[in-house]
Amino acid sequence: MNKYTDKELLILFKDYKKRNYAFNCLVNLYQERIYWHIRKILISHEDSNDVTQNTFIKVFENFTKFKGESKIYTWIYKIATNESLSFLKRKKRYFFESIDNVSSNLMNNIESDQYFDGDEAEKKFQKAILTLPLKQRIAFNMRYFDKMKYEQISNILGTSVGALKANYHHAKIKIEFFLKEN
Amino acid sequence: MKQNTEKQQVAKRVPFNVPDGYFFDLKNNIQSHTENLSSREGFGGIFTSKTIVLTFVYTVIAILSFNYILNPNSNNENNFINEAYEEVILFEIENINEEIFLEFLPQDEYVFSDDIQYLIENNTDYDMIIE
Repeated sequence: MNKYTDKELLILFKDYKKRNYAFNCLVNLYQERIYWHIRKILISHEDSNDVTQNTFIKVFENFTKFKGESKIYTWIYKIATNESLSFLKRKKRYFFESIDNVSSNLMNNIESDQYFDGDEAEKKFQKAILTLPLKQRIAFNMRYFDKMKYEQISNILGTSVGALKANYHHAKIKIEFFLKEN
Repeated sequence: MKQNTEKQQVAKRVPFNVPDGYFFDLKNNIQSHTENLSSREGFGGIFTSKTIVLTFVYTVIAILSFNYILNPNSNNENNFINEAYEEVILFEIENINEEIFLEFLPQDEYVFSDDIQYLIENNTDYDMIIE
């Protein structure tokens, strides 16, 4: 358990001598949650590992600019989401692919992923999630798996709560349809 | 009811795993990156002063180039003066014969007296004039 509040961590971080200690506390506290958030977007463990490291390096570089208007947790989630989206965009550009092809590549990754430990039903469910548009998929994962409140998701993705509720509803319908059809 | 909750929890499980000890390694990797960043920040002052010097040099070069583009004639004039000055120096160094040097001096128009003018026109010997 972390014994420091967000404010205390920020104060510790601003002290040059205690900076590394404060950051280590932050990494201990959030690394797993952030990794799994990224992993659900990128599917591949290797890609998720790279993006998680980049996310925390960005957090370290910009932590002094963090004003504490939102929770650290929300702020790091936002950076992780942006890093994941940028990674997929770079990948799309690098391979001259449309975002749909990136999704189908991610589906293939599930098939060949040595770190996938689900059964056939779970594999099918993950593939169904991958048919969703990217931002809808991220919102769905945050709501369904991470049990985040719509307000929190809204702060991270910059989308209104109403739009998120509608998106989640449509996502569920699409997933149900995919599961029935396949 | 209890069964339903268990089913839901299973359904909401993320069906991925990670290599053994992955999060311990991840933490170490992140820390080694950020500790490098921290130590680089210690040299921040040096990089800052280096940046200032470089900026100053580039600014001077930019101003000179800009000035050259805007006033090409003034530079030509300066070049002309410099070249003339160099020629004078060369002349002194080579110590050219005085007579040749005098030839290059601007000639004054002398007004001779009538007597001398007469002697010159009649091609009289120069020595006679002296006498």
